[in-house]
Amino acid sequence: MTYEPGKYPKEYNPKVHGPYHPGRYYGKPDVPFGDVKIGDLGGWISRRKFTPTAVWGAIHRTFWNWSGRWMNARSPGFAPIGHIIMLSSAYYFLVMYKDRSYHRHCKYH
Amino acid sequence: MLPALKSGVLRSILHGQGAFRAIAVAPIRAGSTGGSAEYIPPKTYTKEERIEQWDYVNSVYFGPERDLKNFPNPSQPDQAPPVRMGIVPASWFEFFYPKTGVTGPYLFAGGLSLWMLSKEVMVIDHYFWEFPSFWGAVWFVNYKFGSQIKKYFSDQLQLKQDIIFTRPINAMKGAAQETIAKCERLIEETEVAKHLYLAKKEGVELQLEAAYRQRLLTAFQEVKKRLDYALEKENVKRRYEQEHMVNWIVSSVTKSITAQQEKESIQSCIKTLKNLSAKQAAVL
Repeated sequence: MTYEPGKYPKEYNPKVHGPYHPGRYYGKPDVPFGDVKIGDLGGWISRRKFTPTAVWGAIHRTFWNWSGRWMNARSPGFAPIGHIIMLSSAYYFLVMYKDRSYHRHCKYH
Repeated sequence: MLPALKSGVLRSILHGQGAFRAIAVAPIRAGSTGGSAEYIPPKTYTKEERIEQWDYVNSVYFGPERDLKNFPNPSQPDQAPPVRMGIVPASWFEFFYPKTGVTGPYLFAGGLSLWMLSKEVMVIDHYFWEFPSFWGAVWFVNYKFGSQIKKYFSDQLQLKQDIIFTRPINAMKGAAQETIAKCERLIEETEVAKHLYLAKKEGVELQLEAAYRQRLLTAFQEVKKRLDYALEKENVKRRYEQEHMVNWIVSSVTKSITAQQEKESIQSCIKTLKNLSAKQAAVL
């Protein structure tokens, strides 16, 4: 991936792309996930990079994209707050998964 | 960042422009360098330098290579994107629609929840009830007070916009209108001044004319007075001379007439009268 901490992506060229937007992907775009056929899914996933910098870059972009579209709208409404609540719920679900699994009632599945 | 630095994009930041000014020119604290630090004032720019920098940045960001179609300038949206059921983005439903139809996403979410409950991935313990009770409370608040809360926030937004933008710009527009009206009034007044000058000039010319005529009259009267005096003096002199001459001649003649002459003349007069009366009688 092209992301390096504290630096612009290597593909970013201000003369072409204009002012830098942290939520935008400046590399060569692949087929969107929604348009991928089931058969091509393996190839599509193999083209993704899972290095720490790439993952961090994706999280970074996703956050700024979400922030720009939802949180920083002029009148955002309740939806972004609901997203944060749902995300923290999911986070605590994962964190407390082990503790809560002691409360299971069934033994055979 | 290095290529950007090399290409000079961040020149403005490094020179202390914008948000990074505080970092770029922050005075070094006395403690960190042993108390010998000096205050470095922020760099000031002339208007020409600023214009040059503006042009430079414009040439970088909006040059001929700029791809505005695929990479438009980011802008702040008015509203968050459309949602369903309060918080779920509508785009997720659109993602499911061509693959599974309308019920797909609901089936997916319901099926996932059922599977998690069935396999006890999600255990129904005392923590579990926090989730539905919280969202139930959210639903209740939205149902009861949603419109009020929405109105409050939209009013606040409107008020903020009024305070930050609308009122100051209206005040500035009002001030500008006032200035324009004053200037127009001034222009009108200067136009009036032209006519006023002409009128005053005419008045002064009239006064000058009157004064001129007055002086002419005075001069005429004075000259006439002197001429009259001279004439009267001449007349008096001539009359006196004449009288004197007449008196002198009469007295001389009177002196020269003797008694004999007087008697003769009376005799001739009587004679003439007699002739005349004879003639008169003959005629009658």
